[in-house]
Amino acid sequence: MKTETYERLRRLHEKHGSREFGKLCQKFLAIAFQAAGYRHIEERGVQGVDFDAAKERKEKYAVEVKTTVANSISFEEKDVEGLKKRKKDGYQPVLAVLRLHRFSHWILADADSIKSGNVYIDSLRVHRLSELERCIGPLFDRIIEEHFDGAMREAQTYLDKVLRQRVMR
Amino acid sequence: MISLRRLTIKGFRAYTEVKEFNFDSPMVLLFGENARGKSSTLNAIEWCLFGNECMGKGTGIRERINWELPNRNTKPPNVSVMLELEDKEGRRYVISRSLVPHGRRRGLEEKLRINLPEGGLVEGGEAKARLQQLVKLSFRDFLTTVYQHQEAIRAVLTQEPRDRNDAIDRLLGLSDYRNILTGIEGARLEKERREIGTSFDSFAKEVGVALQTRKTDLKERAVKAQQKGLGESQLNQREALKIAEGAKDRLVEFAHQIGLGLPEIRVPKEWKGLSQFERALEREIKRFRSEIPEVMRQQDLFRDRSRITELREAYRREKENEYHARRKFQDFIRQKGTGKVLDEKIKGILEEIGKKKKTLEKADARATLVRDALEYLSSDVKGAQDRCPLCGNKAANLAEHLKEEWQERIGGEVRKLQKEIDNLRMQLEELEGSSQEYDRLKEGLESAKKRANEVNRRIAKVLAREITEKDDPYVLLNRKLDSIKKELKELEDVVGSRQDILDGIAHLLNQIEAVVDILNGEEKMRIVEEIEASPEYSQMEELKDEFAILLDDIGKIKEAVGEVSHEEARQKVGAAERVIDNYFRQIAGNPSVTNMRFSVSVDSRTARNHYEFKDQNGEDLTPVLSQGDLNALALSIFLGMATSGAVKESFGFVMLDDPSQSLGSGHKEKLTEILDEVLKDRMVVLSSMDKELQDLTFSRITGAKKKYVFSHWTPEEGPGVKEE
Repeated sequence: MKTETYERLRRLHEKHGSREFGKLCQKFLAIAFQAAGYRHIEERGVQGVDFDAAKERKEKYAVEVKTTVANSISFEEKDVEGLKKRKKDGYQPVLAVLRLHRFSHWILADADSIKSGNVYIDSLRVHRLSELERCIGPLFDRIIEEHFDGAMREAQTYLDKVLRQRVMR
Repeated sequence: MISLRRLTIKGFRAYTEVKEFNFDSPMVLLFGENARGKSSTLNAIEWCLFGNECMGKGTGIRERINWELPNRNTKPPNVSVMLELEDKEGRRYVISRSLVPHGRRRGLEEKLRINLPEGGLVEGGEAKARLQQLVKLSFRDFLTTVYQHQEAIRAVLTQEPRDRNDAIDRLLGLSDYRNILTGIEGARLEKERREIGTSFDSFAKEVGVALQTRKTDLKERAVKAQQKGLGESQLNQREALKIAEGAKDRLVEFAHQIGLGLPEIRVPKEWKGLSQFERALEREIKRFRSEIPEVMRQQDLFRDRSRITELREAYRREKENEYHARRKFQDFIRQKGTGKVLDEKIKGILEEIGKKKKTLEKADARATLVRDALEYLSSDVKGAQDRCPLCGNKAANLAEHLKEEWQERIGGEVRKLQKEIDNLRMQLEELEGSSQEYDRLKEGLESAKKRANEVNRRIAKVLAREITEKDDPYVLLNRKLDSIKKELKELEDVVGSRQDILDGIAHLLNQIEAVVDILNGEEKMRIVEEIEASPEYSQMEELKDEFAILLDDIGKIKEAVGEVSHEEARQKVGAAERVIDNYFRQIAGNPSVTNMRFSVSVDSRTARNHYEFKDQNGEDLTPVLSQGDLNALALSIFLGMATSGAVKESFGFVMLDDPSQSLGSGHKEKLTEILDEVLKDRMVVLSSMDKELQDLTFSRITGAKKKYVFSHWTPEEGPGVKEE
């Protein structure tokens, strides 16, 4: 993650608080998936896995997003269950973790064998989907640059609009 | 399984002299009161097998801390234990371990030798390896499954759950698994990972602080740039290069205007070359400032002005000197006359002195005559007083008469003349001084004139014209100074406008410097961006990934080892549970315990085996048992393990040290019954001071028995041992 991206995320976090920041990151990540060609995005604001992203029949991900400023996350049983359900529908379960920290980046981990509980972020490296990370990482930087002002102003409302517009396109 | 055959001890703990024990009966009883050397006998066996391992804090036995092996009454110390063992094929090994004085300081060196059944002898490291192959057990395992050390077995029941689990794992021969798990935990890899994470976080924090400092610095630099007349939109490379181009053009034009040459200076293509460009232009500006023709003319004029001013001052000074010299000279002449007048006066006085001197000489000749006559007349010559010394005529009162004349006439005249001469000489001296003064004043005047002329000559040279007596050099010099002043005034305006142009270019260079400063700061901030793109960062990421994989693999290994350990524990506990339950109920005879459950589960936190002893109601037993019951339980576990086949032992014997502690008569009776069962499978070496147990052993145990009675102990001879 570029320093500028980090600085922008930090400002978003400062302005909107942790909870809203998590939602914003979820939407930013969904937009980055869209930009990567995952045209079918189903984003859930409240219940279930955070969003599904599908490119073709074989490339289907169910993504559970976690953001934190600490070095571990709480991966709850309901998250595991949610991802399991999506797996039954043919989606690869992904645990996407972003630590708001300089030199940090998205870890997109294959969530198949991750157990629930307090998970130390670095331990997720074993499960990294490196190719997907390489694809999404730079796009995330770009998306943040592009939509930072809008997100600062209108938060989720703005990003929802962006998601909708991109779907229409 | 290996069996005990013979033991020889010398100089070890309670022993001084050589003592030998034969283990040729299934049951060997070491009987005697306390402090007679029984325990030393059992200790000798374990030391011979395990050496230093059975000493110190690591054994978990308090008395082994600072344990002293050599007998204090044996001088010099000479410890030797020889143990004869027999394996299941009937081959005999003789193991000798000794401590012998060594080196200058007479320290003790441990030596191990094994006489092999096939013949031959091995020593040192080879002997140690061979012994390990034979014994197979670690010392800790030996301590809990072969040598029933009261303290060690009690630990199984009374220690912290973690230590108890550890002890029972060892009892069940699961030490290897536990050691692997302990080793993995001891490596603290997870902690390492967190420390690496923390360390990287600190680095990231430092970077953050550095970036913040640079940002503040950049803001300050931007303010400075604005103070130098730059707009916010100009603080970039493009604008800096544009300013540089403008500065260069203006300097070229300026050089052309004043007719000076300018070396070729190129505006760089990138901002990084701007500092060098700036320095080159600064150099040229500095050169131009001094080489502008008008400036050089100014320099000449300043030099002339300074010289003329100095000359004018010299002229004024010399003129004044000359005036004063002339005035003094003229005043002198007026007062004392010219040199010629003075010379004539001197001449007159000299002549006068000559005349006076002649008169004095005459007067002086007569005076000599009168004086001689007076001396004659006043002498003792007979008849001389009244007779003229020249003519010889007699003259009355001649001496009186002459004396009177001398006093009144001749003496006065001479004195008067002398005084006159003296006065003349004084006048002469004064005149000669005046004459010298005259010469000096005259010379001073000449010198002043000469210096004034010299100044005039210099003035003529500076003004480039002849200076005659009709001229007033002072005025001429003033006129010249006026003309210089006028020209300087005219030049000042020209030079000022030229310097203004150069100042303008210098200001542009200042602006370039300000922008370069900002670009420099921005570049340093970009370095932070580049950290993530660097190969080193990628390498670090790869290492972090590899480390995570390593930890994951180790986690899986740990899990697998835990599972295998648990499975084996479950099987062994299952095999021994009934025997231990039977033994315990037999020995303890506690009516409240109708069933004792020995079970194993997995500790969810540590993934290690967790053992429990519960009663028929599923309640934990250990907190409610008496000392005697706890001992009974400890013996039951030890003997249950030894006889149930749960642990595959390499030893065909067990050693019990004072097992009847806190046991009542009933307990002891039951214990001997159980020992009788144990004897079916292996030899028992029993050390006790308990007469009741001894009697029970001889009356209840069906196997052949041998007894060594430890009757007394003396410092000189050690234990008094008698075979019965």
